[in-house]
Amino acid sequence: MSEGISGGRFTDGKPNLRRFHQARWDEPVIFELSSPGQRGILVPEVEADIRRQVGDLTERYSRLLLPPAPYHSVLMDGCLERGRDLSGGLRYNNFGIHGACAANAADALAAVKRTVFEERSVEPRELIAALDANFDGHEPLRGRLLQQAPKVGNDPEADAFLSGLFDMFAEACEATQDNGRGGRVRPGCGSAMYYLWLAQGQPGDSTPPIGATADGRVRGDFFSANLAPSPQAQVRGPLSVLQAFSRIDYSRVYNGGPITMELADASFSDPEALAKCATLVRIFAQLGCQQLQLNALNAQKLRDAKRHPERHRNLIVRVWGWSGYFCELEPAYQDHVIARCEHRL
Amino acid sequence: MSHGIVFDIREFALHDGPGIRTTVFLKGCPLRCSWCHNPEGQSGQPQEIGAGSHRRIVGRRYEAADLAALLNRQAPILAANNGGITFSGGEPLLQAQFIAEVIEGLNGLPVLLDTSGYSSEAQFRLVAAKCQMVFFDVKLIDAEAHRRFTGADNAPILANLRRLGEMEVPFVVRVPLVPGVTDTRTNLSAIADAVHRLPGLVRVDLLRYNRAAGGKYASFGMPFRPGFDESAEVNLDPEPFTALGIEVRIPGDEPGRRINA
Repeated sequence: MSEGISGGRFTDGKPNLRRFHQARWDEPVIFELSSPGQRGILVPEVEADIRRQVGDLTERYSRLLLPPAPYHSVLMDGCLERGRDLSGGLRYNNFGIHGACAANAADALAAVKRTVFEERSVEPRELIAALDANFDGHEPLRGRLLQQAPKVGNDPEADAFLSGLFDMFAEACEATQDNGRGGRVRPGCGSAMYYLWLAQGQPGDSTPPIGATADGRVRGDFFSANLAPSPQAQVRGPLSVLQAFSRIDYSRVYNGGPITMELADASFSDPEALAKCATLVRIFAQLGCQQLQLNALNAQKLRDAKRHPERHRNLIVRVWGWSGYFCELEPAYQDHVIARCEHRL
Repeated sequence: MSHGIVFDIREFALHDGPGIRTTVFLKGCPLRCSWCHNPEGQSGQPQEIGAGSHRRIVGRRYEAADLAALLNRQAPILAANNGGITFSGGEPLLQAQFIAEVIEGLNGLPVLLDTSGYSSEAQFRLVAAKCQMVFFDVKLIDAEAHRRFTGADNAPILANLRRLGEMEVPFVVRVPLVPGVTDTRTNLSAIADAVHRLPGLVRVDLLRYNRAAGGKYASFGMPFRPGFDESAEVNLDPEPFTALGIEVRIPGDEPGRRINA
């Protein structure tokens, strides 16, 4: 059972950036994840917020009522012997929490570090005003954040923020000894549908939970599903992506969640190309990553399927943890699949 | 220490050499092939494309040591998987000194040069001698047709091809098949004649014309005037080569096994 949280969401969707707001360029700011006690003014806010979100979700799990499931219970170890339905507890009672949209969160932190604190090309108040305005009237700043700031998958500095966020997340989960049901809270790196819900809101929402972000993303723009670089990031290819996500300490982030990669369908077109795909899987294992989801996509075919669904009734695509007929997906999910970065082999 | 202009770096290039390869695309080309599918590789200078927040500069300046360091970050992965670095373009030999220095800085990774062959003898020898393999484009043997469709003389190209034959570096001759231009039986036979006795020739690759070639021109403010019928069928008959005992490969031509079919 999983619930999504976002590494990029601070407090109730509104960044608690009071100290950041007051920061000045001439103030010595140390912004390192690696030296505890000297982590500057932004990282502790993020860490505290992750702890708070993990605490809130865990508290909700302890109050969760599960419906009785007699048939399912028969198939589980111990239920018959103890005469108890699975809703009353099992041998393992672990619950998972997933840290979704982590690449954008890491990109945002890396962008602030680079532009505000190192280059000093943006004043903190200017950045916050731009985010509040969804970058309206701040296009040049947005362009700089998008094009020049480090991004997960193309810069080790952003990659370090990514693994740092998952370390904080793991620490918050480890601090919870008991989830209130006799199990642990396990941190994961999947997204389920939160990559869309956080970006665009759930059906019926008037505004999405997350607005513009400091990586140059405007309100409503997609996040990536599961583990993948931000859709806005230009990356050199699958090796850099695997390297970036291999930095996560999966011995602590163990509830699952795949690195999700889209390959052009030409990657499967001849034996030599197929052999290269096999090598890609081998490299994934050599680098010590956890899960890999490889999808074959042909963006042109998908666009045609959106226009002419009658010609593509049997087209099946991977959505996040499941596959579906492309023509039967909601338009927002169709658009996300089309927009996913295609890594051309 | 010299610097160079690179317009892209792509990992896991499918048809740029054996094993898994990272391809560095160098900006600037002395040829103007009418079918060019990398128009961003033609000018040697960085270019601005797009508008608003999507505006970006195509072409980035690297010091040789910095590019080598960037590529070396993946050296262990590439080395463990029979991989290497490919220098392509544009025409990489326009920046021969830069590439030679980058190669010197690589942690022993195998290097492949993907070239049009259009360069001075000195530039060609400088880089080719440091490579484990060369992909050498041969487009048109007829000098006049070559000038018409590529804007350049093919004499330096054919001279470098003969030198390559003497250098003991294994090489693949690549022929882009452009309908009615390079795919004629006369031209393919002439290419086969020119290459079949060269020591070091591994095989000939016949590359299908890429119909998406024109797609990038507009964003660079360039007109696309192919000067031939793009929709015509391409002649894929390898017979002029196979008749002389040359191995031919047509990338993308052998259908892969279908998975979940």
